[in-house]
Amino acid sequence: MKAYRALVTALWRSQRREPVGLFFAFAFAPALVLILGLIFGNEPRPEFGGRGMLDSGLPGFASLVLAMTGVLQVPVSLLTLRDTGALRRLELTPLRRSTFVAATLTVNFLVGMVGMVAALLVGVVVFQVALPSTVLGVLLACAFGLVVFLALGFALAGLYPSVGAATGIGNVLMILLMLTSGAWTPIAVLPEGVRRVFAYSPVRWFVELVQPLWDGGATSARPLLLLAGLLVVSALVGRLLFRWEPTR
Amino acid sequence: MTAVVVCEDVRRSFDTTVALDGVSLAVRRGEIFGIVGPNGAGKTTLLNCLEGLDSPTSGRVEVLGLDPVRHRAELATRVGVQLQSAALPPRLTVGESLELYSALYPQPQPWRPLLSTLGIEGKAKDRVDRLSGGERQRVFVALALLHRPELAFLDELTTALDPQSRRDMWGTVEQVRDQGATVVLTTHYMEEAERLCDRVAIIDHGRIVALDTVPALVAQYAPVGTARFVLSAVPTDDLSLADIPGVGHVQLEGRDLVIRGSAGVVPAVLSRLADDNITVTDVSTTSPGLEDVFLALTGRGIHSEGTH
Repeated sequence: MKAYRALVTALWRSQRREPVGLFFAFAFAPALVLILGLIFGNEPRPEFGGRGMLDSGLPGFASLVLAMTGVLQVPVSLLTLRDTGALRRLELTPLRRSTFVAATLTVNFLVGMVGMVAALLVGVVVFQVALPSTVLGVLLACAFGLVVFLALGFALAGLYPSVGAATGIGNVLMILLMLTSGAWTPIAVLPEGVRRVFAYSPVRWFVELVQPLWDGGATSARPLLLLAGLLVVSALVGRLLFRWEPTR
Repeated sequence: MTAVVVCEDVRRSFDTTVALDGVSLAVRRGEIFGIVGPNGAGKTTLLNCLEGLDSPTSGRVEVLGLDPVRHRAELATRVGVQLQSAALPPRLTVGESLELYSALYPQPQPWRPLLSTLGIEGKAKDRVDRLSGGERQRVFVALALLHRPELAFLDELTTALDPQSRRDMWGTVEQVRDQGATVVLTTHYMEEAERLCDRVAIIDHGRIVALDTVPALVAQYAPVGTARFVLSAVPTDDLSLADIPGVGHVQLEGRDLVIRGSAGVVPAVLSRLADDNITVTDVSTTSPGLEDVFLALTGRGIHSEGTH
């Protein structure tokens, strides 16, 4: 427990002193809500089913935090620790792998939750998006989605050969996830084929889980099961591929 | 005399190179054991195998009676390691780093006095990535000693240190030994091995070519020293010095007499010169050291390039 607390503190300090990374973690999603909200407004439009852009798709913006945490933040920070030799030095102490993993995920979870809640709050406070029908349900779904993407990030950290690969491939994945999140594009007006492809995007699963909770509509088990499946597979892959040693 | 580290015919080969080629050695409890050799000789590979970071391709390694890979968790509290290339989570200060590592060990020593011992007590609030090479080196030595290990592995611990800090570091290592710990260190500084190590293993191309105390190695492999005499006048007769036991090569140029031979010949030469009524105005001797041992064993200097 002492080791876990000390590691959470140290990793948080390490992360918070990197201003660019910190800005992206905390402010990217809320800033995007603010900017797109100011440009396009939240007036009812036919392509959003007669609702405002943010009214119909605020969770899509929150999903960007998931994408960024999962495909960029977690793999890049883990690989930086691994390839500089910081993990190898930790490996030579009595620190257990599970303690290290728990501490890393805790820090990224807290940062991610703050980013998501901030994005949602900007929508609610600045653009008068109606509060969700179940605040607790939405928060729990956000937390669950974040856990899924933290596991995904862990798996990707094991798969990527280097920090460079993590940044390069991570950025491509990030763009794909952003495009399919629904934050940029009204999904409803897209052609059937494109929508079918989008349905494979994990951020869509998250949006499909949260949007009904927000609107008070009927929820389905499909997105929950898909996310749970991704969690299990990612956790297994991440555990299997975790290494302390730098890439030779 | 118990052995705290045992290697038996340890081999480690990578794809095309053989880094360790049958290393056998035993480190005794409470000694400072030096692994000496040029860069690329296999020193770090050997340490990695002892630390459990790497496994030998064949052969047996035992540290404190345990297998370094299988029992790494148990060894972690008993062994301290300073790696040649180590890092910490980025952007932490020295104090924060030591705070973190203190929390990872069950019984760490207070880290502030440790920083004072290492001469970096004023750096606690500085970020590790902004320290000089020598200061950073000392932070990692502090991390290796933080939990008062009974066995410390120090890889090139004085690289990047200036001469004064290097001598201070030697004092620190001796203190660690005097408190009962065993120290295994690698170095390519001959002076460091001579001054600091109770016993030395000389490694070259992945093989131990010699292992003993420094005086014993010198006596066995490089018994020849050089003595220079400055005579008060150019001698008129031939000097008959070659028959003195221990004298090797004799060379006279004007008033300068240079004799190569075993360390004990100087008094005998002086008395023979006195018998011949030759006055000596100056004597200087160069005693052989590990550098000469290495030269005798491998046919090249330890710092010469192109050892591979």
